[in-house]
Amino acid sequence: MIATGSTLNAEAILKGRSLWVDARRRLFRNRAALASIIALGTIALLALFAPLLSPYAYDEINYEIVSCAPGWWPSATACHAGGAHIFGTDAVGRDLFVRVLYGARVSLAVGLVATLVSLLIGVLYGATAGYLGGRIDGLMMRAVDVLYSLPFVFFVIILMVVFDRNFILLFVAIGAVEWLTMARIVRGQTLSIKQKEFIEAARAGGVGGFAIIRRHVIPNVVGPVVVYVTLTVPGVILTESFLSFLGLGVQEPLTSWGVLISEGANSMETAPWMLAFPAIFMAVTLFCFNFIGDGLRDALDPRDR
Amino acid sequence: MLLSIRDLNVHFSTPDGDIHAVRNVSLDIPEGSCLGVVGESGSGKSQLFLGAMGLLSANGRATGSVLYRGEEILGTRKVHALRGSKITMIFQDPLTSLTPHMTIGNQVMEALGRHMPREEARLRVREMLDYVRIPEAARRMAQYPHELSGGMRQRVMIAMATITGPDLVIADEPTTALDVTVQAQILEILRALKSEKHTAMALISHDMGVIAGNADRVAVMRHGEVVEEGAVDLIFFAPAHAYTRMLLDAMPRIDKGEPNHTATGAKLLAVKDLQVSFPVAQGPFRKPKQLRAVDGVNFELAEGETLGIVGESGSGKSTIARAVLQLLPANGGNVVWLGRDLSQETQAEIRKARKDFQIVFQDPLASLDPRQPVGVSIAEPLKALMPGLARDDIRARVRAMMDKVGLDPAWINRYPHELSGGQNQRVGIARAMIVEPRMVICDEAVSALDVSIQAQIVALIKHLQAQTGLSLIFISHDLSVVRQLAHRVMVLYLGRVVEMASSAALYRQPRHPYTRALLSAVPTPDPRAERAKKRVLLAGDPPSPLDRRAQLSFLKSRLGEDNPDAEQYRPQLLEVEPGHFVAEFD
Repeated sequence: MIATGSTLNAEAILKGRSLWVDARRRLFRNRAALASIIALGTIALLALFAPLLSPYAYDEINYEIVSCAPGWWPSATACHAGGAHIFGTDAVGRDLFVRVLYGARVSLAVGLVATLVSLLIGVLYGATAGYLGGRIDGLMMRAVDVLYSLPFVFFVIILMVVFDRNFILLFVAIGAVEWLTMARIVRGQTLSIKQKEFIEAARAGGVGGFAIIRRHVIPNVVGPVVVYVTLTVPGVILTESFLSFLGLGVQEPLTSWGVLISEGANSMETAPWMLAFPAIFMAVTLFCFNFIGDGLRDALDPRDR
Repeated sequence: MLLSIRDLNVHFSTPDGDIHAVRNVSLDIPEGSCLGVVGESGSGKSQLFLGAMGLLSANGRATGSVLYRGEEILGTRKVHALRGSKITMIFQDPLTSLTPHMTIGNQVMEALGRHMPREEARLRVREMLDYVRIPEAARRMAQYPHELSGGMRQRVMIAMATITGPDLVIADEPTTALDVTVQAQILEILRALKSEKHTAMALISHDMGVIAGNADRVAVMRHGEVVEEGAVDLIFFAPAHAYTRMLLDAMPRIDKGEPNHTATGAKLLAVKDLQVSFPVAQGPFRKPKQLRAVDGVNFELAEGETLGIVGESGSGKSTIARAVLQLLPANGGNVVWLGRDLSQETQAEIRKARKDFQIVFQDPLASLDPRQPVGVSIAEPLKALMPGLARDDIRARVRAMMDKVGLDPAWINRYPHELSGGQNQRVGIARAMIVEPRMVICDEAVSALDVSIQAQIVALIKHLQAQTGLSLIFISHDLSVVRQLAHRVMVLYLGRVVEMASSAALYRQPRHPYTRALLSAVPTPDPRAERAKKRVLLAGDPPSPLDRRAQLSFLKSRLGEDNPDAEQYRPQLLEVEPGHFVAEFD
């Protein structure tokens, strides 16, 4: 027995501990996760206030300063005569710094919103199917299989044609595909949790079906779900860049990290900074999500402290 | 001296600091004798021998001295050569100790470890399997571990441990995972090994009864230390240390106990011809067979009465509990609660009725949600079954209940993993009792606990019953625990009742051969009685419940068509004395 209770003050003992309050406390004690939260928050703030940080507009084309190397101070060279471009410029002379930050807006928004959509649908759907089991489970999961078998690109093209090209649709399309895997994972976990004695104990205690899913099943599938979420966010960001590459995602002059990286990859021998800066931002973001995911998984498990 | 352990210490380095698991232990095992090592969980009894044999996990470290025939082996290369040839081990769980994808024959042959012609090796293996009384040894050699029952697997383990002709066998809880009748068979084999092959043995067990019948000397361990060591009779009849006395007093005794008077309250529950079966798949294109887990069980329960249900694994005792509580659908029969037939009611009505009947589970940790503080778990039935209670009222009731079951109300926010097994079981009892039910089913509620904790929980249950006039159905495989609590006892065999009588009558005068075998198989913590005991051993394995002929194991004369799927006559219960029912037998 570990006397962790003694570290709590008397008030907390009386008021009751919630899983979430405890989890937050433990998450903030995890250094990697805390650093990642700060890093991610900084990137998000930069993206939000991007226009205020730079004198350049993201769509300002200037053919006199094409593919300039980064320079921190205004100088006499042609590239930085009109002011410094700290990340350099791209193939049509747009400031890369402001474009990376605008790209962050799109990438983070798509990543987070699509993941949240997939999380919400996937967890509810999977937990319900797994908990009910039997024939209903079979029907629900076959529906998932059918959706799985639809070619993703074909599905997006149909959506784009039917509903016109729309930024919001991008979220919907990606979310609508990502939740399928989430539902499968949650269903599998639910099937194993359903066998546990504490579920039977709750049933014997007169707790209804939906309350059992909400109070006992979902909190106990959180571990694998959180890990999968942190894998989904990067996946979604990459999917968005793929769609943009096909011309189905964000359109010029608006940009995203995926688009910047694919453009940068084309000129990586002559202008490596065009690949390096968006790639660094993306890599840092993905690392952050992974560390936060690990931290959340540990924080949400009361056995592990 | 065969093996001398001197000042052995075992340390484990963990993230929480250094754990001193074994402290300065010195023990001797002479040739051909049996040393019993007894202790509760966490006493270091297993780590002692793992440490001596160089089998600790990576973060463990053993210091001191271990002499084999006068030669130092601790931490030397010699121990690797001795292990598996001159010193062998048998572990608790025979399924995880056997490789799943190797046949029995090959595994035992591998243990033989010596190069000899294949035919000769096969012969040796067969002889060994015969020796541990595995029927049809030749056929079994081609089988895989999962095709064998737990008892048969443990025999294979014993065969593997003895085929090299060891001087010393270390048996770590060799029978803990087995049913009592199977345990009796395995202990018989170990005794034979000692007397016929003159093999010395270290028998590690938590069960004083197992130790009493087998050991020559006994070491009692607690918190990594040997608190007392001596000849078996001395330890049991003149224990010097207070802890030994406490352990002996805490042991439930099957051979003693004051009779519990029969309660005569109003009838609460009547179960009539209850049947529950599960489909067992027979392959993709074959019709599933029906496993009759409960096959026509009748009983009644009066207000304030305790009914004990005993039986071995697969006898259907837990299935009865779940069917009575409507947690499992029954295939037939009725469960009548206060005159209402629950099998006819809707789910919503049953949920409301749950206020009156609750359950306490076997594994205290598994039956509590690991992500909820225990206070929330205790409050859960209250919130579900008595909606409309104010938050403060709920909290006050939870605290009062915790106090009643002997838990500090300040622990309301602790998580299950922060409490010990016994404390968690108190949480389980509090959760069952908080809605003030009229009946509680205890499904193996004390089986997972150490004897000293077990005694406390049994006392708590008795106390709560005396206070509230509660009715109990106490399910256990342990006949001695049931004796302490039950007014009436029902013995199950493969889903049917073989004997039902008042506790006094059943333990004094068992009638059915199965009940007799069961009672005689329970080891008592009394070395003299154990040595003198004439054991009624059941031959072979318990039969498969899918085999319809199994019902007639004790009534072979009525066997009809000799086919596992054919319908057979079912032994009927006869009232041999008022209130004493016995199934027909030959």
